[in-house]
Amino acid sequence: MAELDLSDLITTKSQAADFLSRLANLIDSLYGTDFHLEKALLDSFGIRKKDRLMSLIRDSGLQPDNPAVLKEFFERVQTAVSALPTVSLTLPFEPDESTLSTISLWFPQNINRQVLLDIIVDRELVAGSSVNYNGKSKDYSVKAVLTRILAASLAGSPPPSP
Amino acid sequence: MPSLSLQIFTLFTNVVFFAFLFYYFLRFRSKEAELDKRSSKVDTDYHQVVDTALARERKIIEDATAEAETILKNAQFVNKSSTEEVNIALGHMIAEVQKEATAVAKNFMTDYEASLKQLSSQSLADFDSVAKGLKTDLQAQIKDFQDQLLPELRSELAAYKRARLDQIENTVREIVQKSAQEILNKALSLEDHQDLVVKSLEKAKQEGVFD
Repeated sequence: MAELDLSDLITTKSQAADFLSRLANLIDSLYGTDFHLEKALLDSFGIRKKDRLMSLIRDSGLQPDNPAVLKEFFERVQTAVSALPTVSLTLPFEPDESTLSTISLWFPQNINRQVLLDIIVDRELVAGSSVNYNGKSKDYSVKAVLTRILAASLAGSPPPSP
Repeated sequence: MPSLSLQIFTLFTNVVFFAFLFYYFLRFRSKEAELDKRSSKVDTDYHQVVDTALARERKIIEDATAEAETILKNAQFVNKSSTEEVNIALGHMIAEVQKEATAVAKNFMTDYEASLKQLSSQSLADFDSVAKGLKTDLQAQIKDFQDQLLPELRSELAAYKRARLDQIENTVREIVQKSAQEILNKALSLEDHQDLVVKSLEKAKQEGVFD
């Protein structure tokens, strides 16, 4: 079974939690007599995510009026979302939706892996970011550079190259 | 008109009355004479007593004056002789006291000089002992200071220096950081921030953070 591309659906950890909660409610309502897939998706996720999910269903060649098939599909989505690794990013600014999307898309394009972003805002970083992934942490902020330069200056040695 | 008998009776009573009156008059004159006589006698006796008393008084005063003069004369004599004797005695006493005082003063000076000599020699010995003790204590304290306190002091100074330097470094860092934050936040747009984040992700990839 092909891997689901969820990059358009969720970018952050909090969005993932919200998405999973809504998806669980949707699965519960699948066997209702008045269940209508597109309406349910629209009500639960909004038009953009509804279109993206419908596209995924169609691309998977599934029957949208079969509740059992839909349940299996949505459970696959749940599993895929839960399995996404989390990258913790500390940023010196509050990112908007566009920035989050750009950052989120960077991962499948550059490391062939979709991730969930855990965004922390710390304005003391000045610029750049601090990355924490799978227990590994790196600070690429201006704050870290300034600290290194200052420490070297105060110690009397030449400042390190950035 | 009264009867004759009544007239006779009246006449008789008048005669009796006048006779009685005359008799008392005579008696009164006799008693008055007798009183004058007594009075004269009393007066005479009184003057006699008074004259006698005055004579005695004069005599007593004259005797007392004579006696007082005698006593005064004797007293002056006694006073003069006593004064001379007392002066002589005092002269002797002063001489004795001077002599005694000179002897005592001499003894005192001798004792004082001896005590002073003894005291000064003892004090010098004590001072020498104290000075030696002080020197030993001081040396021990210096050694103790060098062995224990000095390293501790150096260590505390180093720690203090480090703490102060850290404080200064933190302050400088804070200032630089705040300044950079202020300046760069104004200078950088959202796109610039985004580019820097993407570059940091690429650097993380190069350094194997996502492996």
